[in-house]
Amino acid sequence: MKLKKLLAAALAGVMVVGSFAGCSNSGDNGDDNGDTSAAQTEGAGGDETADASGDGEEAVSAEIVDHKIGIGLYTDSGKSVEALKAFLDGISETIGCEFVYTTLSTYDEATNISSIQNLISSGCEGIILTADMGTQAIVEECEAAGVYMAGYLCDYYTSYTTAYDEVFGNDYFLGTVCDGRSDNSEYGTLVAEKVIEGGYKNVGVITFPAYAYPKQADIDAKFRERIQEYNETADEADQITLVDTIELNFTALEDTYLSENPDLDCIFSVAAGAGNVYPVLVANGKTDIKLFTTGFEGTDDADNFGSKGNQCYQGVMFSTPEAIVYPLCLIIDKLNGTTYSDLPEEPEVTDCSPMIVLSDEDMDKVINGAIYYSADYADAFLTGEDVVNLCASYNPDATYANLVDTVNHMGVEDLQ
Amino acid sequence: MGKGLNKTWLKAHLGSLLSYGGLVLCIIVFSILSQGGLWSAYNIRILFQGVCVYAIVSMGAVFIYSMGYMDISVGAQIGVYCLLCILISNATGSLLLGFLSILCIALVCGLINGYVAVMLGLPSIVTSIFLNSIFGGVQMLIMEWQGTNSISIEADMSMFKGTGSMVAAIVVIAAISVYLYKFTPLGKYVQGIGANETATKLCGVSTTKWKVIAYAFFGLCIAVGALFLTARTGAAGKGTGTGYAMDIMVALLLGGMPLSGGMRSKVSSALIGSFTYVILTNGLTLAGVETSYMYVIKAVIFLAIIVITCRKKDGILPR
Repeated sequence: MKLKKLLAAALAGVMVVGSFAGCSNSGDNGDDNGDTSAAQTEGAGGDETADASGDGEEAVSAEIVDHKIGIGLYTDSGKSVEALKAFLDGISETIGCEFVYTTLSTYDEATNISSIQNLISSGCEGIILTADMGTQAIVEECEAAGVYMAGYLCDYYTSYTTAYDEVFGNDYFLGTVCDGRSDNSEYGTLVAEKVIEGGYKNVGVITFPAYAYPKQADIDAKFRERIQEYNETADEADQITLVDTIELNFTALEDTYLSENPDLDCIFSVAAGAGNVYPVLVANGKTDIKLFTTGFEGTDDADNFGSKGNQCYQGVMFSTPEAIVYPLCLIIDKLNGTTYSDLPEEPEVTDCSPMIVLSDEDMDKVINGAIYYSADYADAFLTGEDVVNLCASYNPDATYANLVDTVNHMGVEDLQ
Repeated sequence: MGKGLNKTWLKAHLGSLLSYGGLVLCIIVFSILSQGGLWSAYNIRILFQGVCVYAIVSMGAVFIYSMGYMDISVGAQIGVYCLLCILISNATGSLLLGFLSILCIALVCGLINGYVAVMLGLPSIVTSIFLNSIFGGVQMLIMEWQGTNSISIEADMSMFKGTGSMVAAIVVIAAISVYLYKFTPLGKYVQGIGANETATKLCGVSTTKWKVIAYAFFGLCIAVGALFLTARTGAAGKGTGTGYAMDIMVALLLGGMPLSGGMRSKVSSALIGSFTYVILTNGLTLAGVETSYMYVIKAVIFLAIIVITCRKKDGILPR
């Protein structure tokens, strides 16, 4: 027993030392950043100077002010997180921002409020969030602390419909950029076209519950509308049978779905299919069923896409991490005390280009040239200088319209 | 003789020393790593806000863990109570009615947990699994019925939101808990049940009665905790309360509560543990530790404490 206790005490000791080491490493990194920044410092006060130019605009010389921005993500791992961190790491030095990350809950308000409070306490002056959960209390907290917040890859639909005045009416909430379009129903039509083109005959549709993701029903409706339109003119033998839509209650697809629908040759999973549907198809030896879905993990869904691997995946849709420049620029400008001359009075829910991948060529473009897949800053749509140039506080000619336009030119068609 | 006494005293108070020492160590370490940020007025405010619900619910849970039992339904119960409190309050305009309703349900659940388990001869964890499933299902059904991801409360809860009221709630619940634990038979009997239930029963104690009372008090604490959680978040949804069962257990363990219950159990475990647990997360964030490392660090601490506080050779899990 004594030995057990000694071992436990030793374990705890190792942990404490480990945490010291981990923390000091973190601090070292921070120092390194500071040093690098200092090397570029021109002028007084430790502020940096950046030359920003882009899209043929005149080069802008501005004093970059250092800020600390908190980023609350709905997940702490995966391609999307790696890519976002790679992008922000890449631009941080140029735009003078230090980024601190926390993981949010998509279903627990208390977790989110605690996380945001911890970020504020650690010195964050601005916060970017990817989940609309407990937002009203979070905005109140930010207002009380004088911290600005904005959304990223989230349409804040719940707050928009149930607490507009409290959230969108608050001066400390600056707006949000959606995960793709606010109305992503276009994807339903595009998938329907691919289903018709592919000659699939029995198609199932899967969504998350409407109470949690009300807009997925719109994608489903557009998909069905196009298929019905096709069925009206197609020969009986060519018509497509649509199985009733089922809702996944945030769990994987039940095996019984496949046994109850043995003739399925295609599934359109508006609910994230890579985690909830594909593993079930694999487990049941049904990867011959073609899968169109939302989200992209860059693993099995890339290896088995189109004509590659088992060819199960035929369509994915996701958003690129560079869209974070929308909330980032709004926050930087607010912190610097400047705003765009054309900034709308009310905070907006803004679209960004969705990456819709429905062919081998598109997937090749993503694999070879998108930061989302490579997590390489060199593949980003924007450089740090571009971001500086998008901020009104560093570029007097910068406009809100240009910022919105920028995040709307980040689709597959825009990849080199 | 003196040396022997010291050794005996040290052995008897090792758990307390470790738990208090853990809290003090956390405070010292994070004071240094956060460069004083731990002591900023804002941080102290959020620490108390973060601790409030954990401390209140943990103090009720002390009575359950003292018996060597555990309750995994606490998270689901908190979730449903928050939702019901909001729905009833929004529908009637009376926050008091909302709170009284959830208090009644919490007491009934305490009865089920304590009495039904004895009547059916089931381990208490089985009834708590049953309650967890029921409450989890009810939470889902309420959200589907509401057709939204989150419901906001319309009543003004600013009275319960302030740090002062949260501190006052912790103090009141702590005073009641200490009184019940130290100055009424309840404390002695729950410890007795934890140490040796058969012996306690043979001494003429109605263990069923005291189990029910212990669970009822736990229910009261959950209801009060749910009220303060609602005040803090202003809303509830399908995931409200998630993780609380584990968080409460971790907090109690950090505070030196033996998983196997018994005579070494004490109310202070709830307070010490809740503060340690919240300061740990807060301090790691202030120190700039990445989220992924936080999980590892917390897991290692959890493991170490289980090994240190376990006193039974035949297993470490509660009954």
